[in-house]
Amino acid sequence: MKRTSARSCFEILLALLVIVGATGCGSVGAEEATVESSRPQHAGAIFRTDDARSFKRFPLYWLGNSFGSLPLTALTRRDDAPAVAEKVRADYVGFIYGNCVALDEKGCAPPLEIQIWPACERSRADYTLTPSGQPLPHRRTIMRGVPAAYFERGLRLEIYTGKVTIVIFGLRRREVERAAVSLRGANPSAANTATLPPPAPGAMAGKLPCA
Amino acid sequence: MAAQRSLNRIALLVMGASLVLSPGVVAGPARAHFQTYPYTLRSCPASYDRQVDPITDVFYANATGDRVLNHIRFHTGWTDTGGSTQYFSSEGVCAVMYGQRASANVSQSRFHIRVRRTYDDDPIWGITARGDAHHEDFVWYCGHAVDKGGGSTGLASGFDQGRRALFEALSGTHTFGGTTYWGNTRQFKQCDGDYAGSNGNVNWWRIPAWSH
Repeated sequence: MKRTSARSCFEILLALLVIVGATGCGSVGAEEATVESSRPQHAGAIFRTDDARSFKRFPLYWLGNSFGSLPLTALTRRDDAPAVAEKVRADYVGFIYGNCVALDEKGCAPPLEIQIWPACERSRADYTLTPSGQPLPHRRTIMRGVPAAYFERGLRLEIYTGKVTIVIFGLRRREVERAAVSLRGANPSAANTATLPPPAPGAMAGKLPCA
Repeated sequence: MAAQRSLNRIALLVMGASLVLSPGVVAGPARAHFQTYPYTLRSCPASYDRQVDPITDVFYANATGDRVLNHIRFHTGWTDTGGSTQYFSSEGVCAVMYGQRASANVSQSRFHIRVRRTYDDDPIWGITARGDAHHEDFVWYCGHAVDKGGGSTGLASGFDQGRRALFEALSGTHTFGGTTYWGNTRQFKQCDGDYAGSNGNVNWWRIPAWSH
């Protein structure tokens, strides 16, 4: 642990030295001030486990505080305003498990992520590959007694249950399936049964109205 | 001469092996349809742990890499060409990006896009290319980090901001082919520790046969 902290400090110091060398001491403070003042979204509210438990808008499913060797590392909440011409707005709660190392201009994909979307915002009926209606490649299946579909070479699994779409992103297909089987309710409105509730009427056709 | 012949033979063998390995090529360009991996990559071949950015835009009709960059540069004013190298994959063929354009240099916060032509042309959409438009902050201790979504503030992520900036810049001058929903919403950890993801929409823009 101490070694990790020392290494992180060293990496930060090294990065700082590189930036100072590249831009000059005077400009570092100016850049930092610009970042803080011009990008208010970094001040966004943090979504916590307690927020998930008391969340009322739609049922939430998660894997608890850890999944195998992967700890729950972050919870995220997107609730964006609709934008011109865009079919679907971001409206989900995300549970991120495990870590990865991100670099300058190179983000990284955490090993496992669960996103819960309201089915009225995102459903299988929304997908097309091209504007002429060519279907987005996927393979339909049944998972925990309800319709589901694999996308992205089996590394993205979507489960359609009740009034939500559960989206699982994983590193390996077997892990994605294991996560699907292990999902449990994170708030009182979510089911805790082996067989999940069937999709709400209209949800699979993309015709479920948002309340 | 003999050495040249040997080289040619090796080249043909490599090409033959590639044809066998890539299903898109086996199908033949005349029957090929648009296909792409929905994220950019750190390196090849395409795999989950190499994903970096979601694809946010597709360019079609005459979208060679050069022409796409030319139109983006002209209509957005994104003239800077600095940034890291990433890779794109389609039809099982992974290759380095064609180029990139940004609204500011590598030590500033900016809009940024990388582009590469899709491997096969499409009978309806013609020559296609993909891009990963985004807004990234310059963070003093680590470099560029794409903006996260705004939590309860309702602000868009850097990937959605990038797509919308292109939408504003190209609307009125380019034919908008529409929006498709791919759901490539995986969130990526950024160097500042935040998580950024697209909302999964992909905008389609027609690129004419001429350049500015």
